[in-house]
Amino acid sequence: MIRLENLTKIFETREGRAVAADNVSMNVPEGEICILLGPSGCGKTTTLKMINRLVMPTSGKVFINDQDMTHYDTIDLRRGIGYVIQQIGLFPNMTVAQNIGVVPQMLGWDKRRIEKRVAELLEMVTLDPGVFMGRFPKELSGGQQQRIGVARALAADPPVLLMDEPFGAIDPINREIIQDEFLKMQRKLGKTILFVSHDIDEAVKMGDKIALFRDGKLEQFDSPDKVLAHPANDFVADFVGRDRTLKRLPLARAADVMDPGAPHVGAGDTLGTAARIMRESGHANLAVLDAQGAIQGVVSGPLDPGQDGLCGDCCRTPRARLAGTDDLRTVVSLMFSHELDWLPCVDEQGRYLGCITLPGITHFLGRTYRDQEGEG
Amino acid sequence: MASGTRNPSSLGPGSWLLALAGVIIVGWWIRSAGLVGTLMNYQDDIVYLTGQHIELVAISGGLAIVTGIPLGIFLSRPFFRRYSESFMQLLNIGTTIPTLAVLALSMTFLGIGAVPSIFALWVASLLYIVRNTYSGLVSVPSYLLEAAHGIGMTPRQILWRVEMPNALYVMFAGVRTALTINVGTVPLAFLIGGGGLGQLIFTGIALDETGMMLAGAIPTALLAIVVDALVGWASFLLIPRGVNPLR
Repeated sequence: MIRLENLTKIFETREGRAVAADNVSMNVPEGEICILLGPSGCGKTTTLKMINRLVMPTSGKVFINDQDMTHYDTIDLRRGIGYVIQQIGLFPNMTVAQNIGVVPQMLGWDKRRIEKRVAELLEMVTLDPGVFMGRFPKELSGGQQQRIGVARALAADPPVLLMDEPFGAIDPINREIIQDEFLKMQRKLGKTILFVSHDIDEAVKMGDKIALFRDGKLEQFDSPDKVLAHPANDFVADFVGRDRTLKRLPLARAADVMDPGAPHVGAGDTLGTAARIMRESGHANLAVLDAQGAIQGVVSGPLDPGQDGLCGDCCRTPRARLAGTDDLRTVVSLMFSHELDWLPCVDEQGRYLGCITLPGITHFLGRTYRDQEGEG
Repeated sequence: MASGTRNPSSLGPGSWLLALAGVIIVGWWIRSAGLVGTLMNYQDDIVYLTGQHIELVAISGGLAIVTGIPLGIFLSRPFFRRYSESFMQLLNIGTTIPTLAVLALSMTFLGIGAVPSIFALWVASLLYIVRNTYSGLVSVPSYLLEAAHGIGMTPRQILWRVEMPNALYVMFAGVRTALTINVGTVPLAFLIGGGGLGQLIFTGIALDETGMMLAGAIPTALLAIVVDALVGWASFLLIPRGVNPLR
């Protein structure tokens, strides 16, 4: 969808030539979010701005939909690309409705259509059109302003969105919320997005791809999990941090590591049966299920094979339970806070699906390293 | 540059009260000095000369607005940016020349009468308008311009829809200062035969007739207050609410 070919920018300064972007090539497929990541001055913003020509490339080409944009009219090009910046840049002299409607208006839409679109977009960014349409930017909070900023970029429904640290100036709590909202919106819209960030956590959360820059060079272009698990060089490894494996945790769901075949017992089984199953399967914890398949408790080993009593009477209530959609970060956090290495996973009705163990997680995370060794 | 962006008097209720108090005190003083009758003697002169006064302010001030704003816009354009500071310095030097000297110079070139007066008043008013237009435009935050470029506005659209509205408050402050000072400078125009209330003031001084002098001075002062209030009121109404600190 967006293809950069040997994009280069050289600034002539008093101290000589400064290479801001050095032969950057990448291909972002349709509907994906690509995060341009790196320390300040690495060329990520320059690269972004060469796409809508706020910075003129020294050499190289930009393709959108396999079409070379080099000779495309600059104004038309920009009107067809949504643009969001960190300082938001809402025009203070215009109302919210005028701000959102500015691109459609330049494109010559009629008044009624613009009004309808503005209301639709305000609802999409969870702001009540009746309340916000007539407000001025100074009457909005930072989070609300950036929602309007995103709405303005989406107004003419451009297939491509460029975002320059869009959530960088918003406080951490609201940033989380607005990121989640944005991802939810993106799942419906499927825009192709280039997104500048200097925050590895944001990159891992938002990105389908990460493009890591240093000194104008593209160091690695991969999925977040690949970048974290297999940094291309020492710079990338340093940038993503020594705790990079922990950063992979949010990328996987409980369902990915759950063992659906883990043995369980019924509430009416004896403890002796449980002890035998534990010995045979090597599992130290067994879920105790009632007749409906809902989890009633857990029995933990070691158990004496000759012990009397029913599992249903002797089990403990599990201290935490998981949904399949919980991410691994949540899972591990729950395990640590309750000092457990075993947690049951349940569906919405509370029925038992399987269990997650700490060794299971370790095994899951380690798989990609073993595959790599196998190839080597 | 910053001094040009400050408003000399604001429309706040405090300043209104002060002005009102001033008028009352002056009024009381005029009454107790038995000046009311004296002033009434000059009624016809006052009406006629005030008309002339307003005419001079309107023409020279209008010309200053019509030329100053485009000049300020021109100076703020990127292609001229690197020369504009030196140009502003030149204009600054122009204003350090006392208005009386400008009047004298303009008389040597243009003779006597209204035309050289209007020219000198135009020169005296121009700088405030150019400077405030220029500094209002260059102080529009760069991220607004980036956003405007990024969404595909043409340079002309950026000027009219982003830069001008956001500079309007500062520009109005410049116009307000220029016109108020203009009203106060017009009396000097009498010296080169330009007419206006200066006729009563200077003749009053020459003949040592306090009444005649005040018959010129008081309407001049009132006129300055009225002009200031009018421009202030216009800026309250005309500047969009989103960028108007008064609303």
